[in-house]
Amino acid sequence: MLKTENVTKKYGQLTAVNGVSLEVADNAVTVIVGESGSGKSTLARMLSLIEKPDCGRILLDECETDRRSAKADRRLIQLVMQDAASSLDPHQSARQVIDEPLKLLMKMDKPQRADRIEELCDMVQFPKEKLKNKVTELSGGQQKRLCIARALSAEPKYIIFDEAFSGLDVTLRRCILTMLKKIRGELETGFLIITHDLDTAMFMADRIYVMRSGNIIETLERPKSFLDFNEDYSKELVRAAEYKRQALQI
Amino acid sequence: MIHKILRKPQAVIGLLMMLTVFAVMVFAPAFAPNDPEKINIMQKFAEPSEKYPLGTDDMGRCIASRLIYGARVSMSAALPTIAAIAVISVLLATVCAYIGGIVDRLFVIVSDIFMALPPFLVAMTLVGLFESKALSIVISIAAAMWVWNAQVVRTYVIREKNKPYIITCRMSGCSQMRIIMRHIIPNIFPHLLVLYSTGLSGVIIMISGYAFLGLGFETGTPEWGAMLVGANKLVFSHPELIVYPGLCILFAAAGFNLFGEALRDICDPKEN
Amino acid sequence: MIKRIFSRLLVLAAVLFGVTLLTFFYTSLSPVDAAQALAVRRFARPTAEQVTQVRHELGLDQPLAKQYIAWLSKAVSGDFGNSYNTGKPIIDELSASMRPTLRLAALALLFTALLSIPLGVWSASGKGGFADKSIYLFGIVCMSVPNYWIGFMLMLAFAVNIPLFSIMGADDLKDFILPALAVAIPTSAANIRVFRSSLLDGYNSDFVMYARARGISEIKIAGMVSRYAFPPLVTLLGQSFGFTIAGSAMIEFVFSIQGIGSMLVTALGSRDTVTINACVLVIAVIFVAVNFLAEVINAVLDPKRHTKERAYDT
Repeated sequence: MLKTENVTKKYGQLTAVNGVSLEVADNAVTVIVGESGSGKSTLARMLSLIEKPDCGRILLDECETDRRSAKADRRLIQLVMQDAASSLDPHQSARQVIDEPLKLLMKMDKPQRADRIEELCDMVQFPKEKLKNKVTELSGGQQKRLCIARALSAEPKYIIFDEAFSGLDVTLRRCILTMLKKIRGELETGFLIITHDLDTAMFMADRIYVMRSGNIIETLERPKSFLDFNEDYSKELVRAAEYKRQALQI
Repeated sequence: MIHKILRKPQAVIGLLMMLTVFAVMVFAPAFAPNDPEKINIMQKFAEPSEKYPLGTDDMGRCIASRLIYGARVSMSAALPTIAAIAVISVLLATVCAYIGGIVDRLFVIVSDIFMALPPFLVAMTLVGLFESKALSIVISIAAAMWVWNAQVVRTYVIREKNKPYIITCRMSGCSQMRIIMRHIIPNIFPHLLVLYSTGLSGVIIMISGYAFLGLGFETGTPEWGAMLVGANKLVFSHPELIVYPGLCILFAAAGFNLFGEALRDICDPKEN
Repeated sequence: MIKRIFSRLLVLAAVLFGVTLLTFFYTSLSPVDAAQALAVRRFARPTAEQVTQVRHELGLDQPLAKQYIAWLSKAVSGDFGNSYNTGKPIIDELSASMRPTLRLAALALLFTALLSIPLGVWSASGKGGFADKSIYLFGIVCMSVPNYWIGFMLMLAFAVNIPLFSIMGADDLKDFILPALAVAIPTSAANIRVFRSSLLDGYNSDFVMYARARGISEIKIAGMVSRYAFPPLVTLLGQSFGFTIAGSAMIEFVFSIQGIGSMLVTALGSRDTVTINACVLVIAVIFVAVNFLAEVINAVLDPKRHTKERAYDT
């Protein structure tokens, strides 16, 4: 269980996260929904152990995580960021990107790594003939799949997707989300998805947290439809999403 | 990247010029028609002939040979100098920029002080320090120039270090050392190449300046700058003795500059 | 704003202090024993006592720190002691040498500005065109030669073949035109690149786009872009003034000018440590002062600009 206990983070005068306690369940999909500036990305960074909270604790299996022990925990919590291109080293080839964690974290030897890379490519539907290409030569979708494959290669307990689908076009997003749903069914990994898109949230979530201005204002278990939201703010978000859908109707 | 380089005419020209200089430097004995240091007062200021393709200087030495060997002398002082500058600046800048915190602050303050001294000054005061004149030159120029280079390298490292992919690398299990060696340095390498190739041309010019002032090389050494010593007297009588060494310096330095600047355009294709 | 100037002044003072320390340290590294050298000059074959006596006179038997403090306190009041070489007060020779070098540097600065600014604007406005490319190529050539060689070429062209200028002397301003030009040409080459680059950055930036959208006149926009593009150029010009003074030795040799550069080289050659110290100190102080002036000018031009060279913010 990965959880935060009353965690607060301030940037100067601004309180980004205000005493938040939430849980990322093992083997399930947790989603944090909110508008820009709600503090969800900050929360994601703290959960991926990139930043430390000002107050409160982050607990991994009831053990407090400290930056120093983060090395051991690093493998267990992986991150997929919003912009795939900038989260990849431009001078690496696609194969090297996946190879590195297999070598460093999983300590596999060469033949094992080669096999595993093939497996992972199949899992994320990444074209194997592109493995030899440099990262900059891949399309946006391929780069995203590569990032996911890299995260999976560490066989983590939790993967955090920080607005990872916002930049994708709708069909690609659907494709990747469907793929992720399938993958998650096969592995025992907990997903934490940070998004501002309610459709994504509804499609993927086993649990939804709604965030606003640094606080969690609602928690939904196994949401079935948009009508499940109770709080006023959540309902506003639903309405805004509806307007978007209506406006797009031809 | 090699393809991009070969596609740019300026880069290719610069590269060819650089290679020419290296070739002359390595194969000087094969190219030079005579012994560059052989004095022959009877033949001083001779006209260009078959034996002396460019004539002789005031001591009867073959000018062409001196120019050719001059490549060797200049480059054998310039190359170690730029190598030393590169090693020191990259090491220091990378370590300080990556560790950050107090170490980095200290570095900035110290380099501010060093940069307050014009490099020529620093180099001049150090030049007489060592027995070996060539070593003096290398060390004094390196001591003068490392700060300026280190500051630039530091900026590159910091820029790279703050990019998102570094976080991904940490997550993939990379140690700090591995990130520096396998991720940061390969990505700033083109910029370093630009810095040090244009730097090399600057060093060549600096060295010639020293030789011109009579500091640093034994008198009579065939070095392009040294060949201009006492050229004031020759301005009216034998101006070509002034023109030739300068043209050599121009060729060598321009080669490195052209290549470096072309490379810079490739790496930072912003407005160019 | 006042606070910024004050803190910069503090840094400046610290830097100057560091500079004097470094200067003293560098020259004290010299393996030559100044006492020995001077004693030889005085007594031809000095005995050990005579050398010791000279050493005591010069104060060289004191611990290094004491020497430094003594030297610094006197230097501040302009007393640099007497040259080991000539025995005369250094301050006299210094002031005599400073005049020609300063005139040279000032004229060079003027020429550099006169070359860099119009050519930079021309390059930027005709970006990619023939003028731009020619200026660029010519610039690379000029950056690839030592300025003293350009001095020789200018001399050949305008003093020998067309006897417009004399080849030596430092009497009136006319004599400084060729050497100043020789210094200005390579410096301008680098400056033009920088200026062109900041002009292009300025014209391509968002604030210009918004200004145009708001209908602001091109003249006003040119003014805005200038305020943005000038600071790097001002910094470079300030630096180049200092570099000219520091590296003046070579040009002075070419044109037979008795400036501070030649004085320094002579002192280096004869291991005249006190003179070396004095020259280096004066040059360094001028360098630091002019750079500081450039910073102040920049702060006035564009107070909101964060100097990116100071990458304190990581």
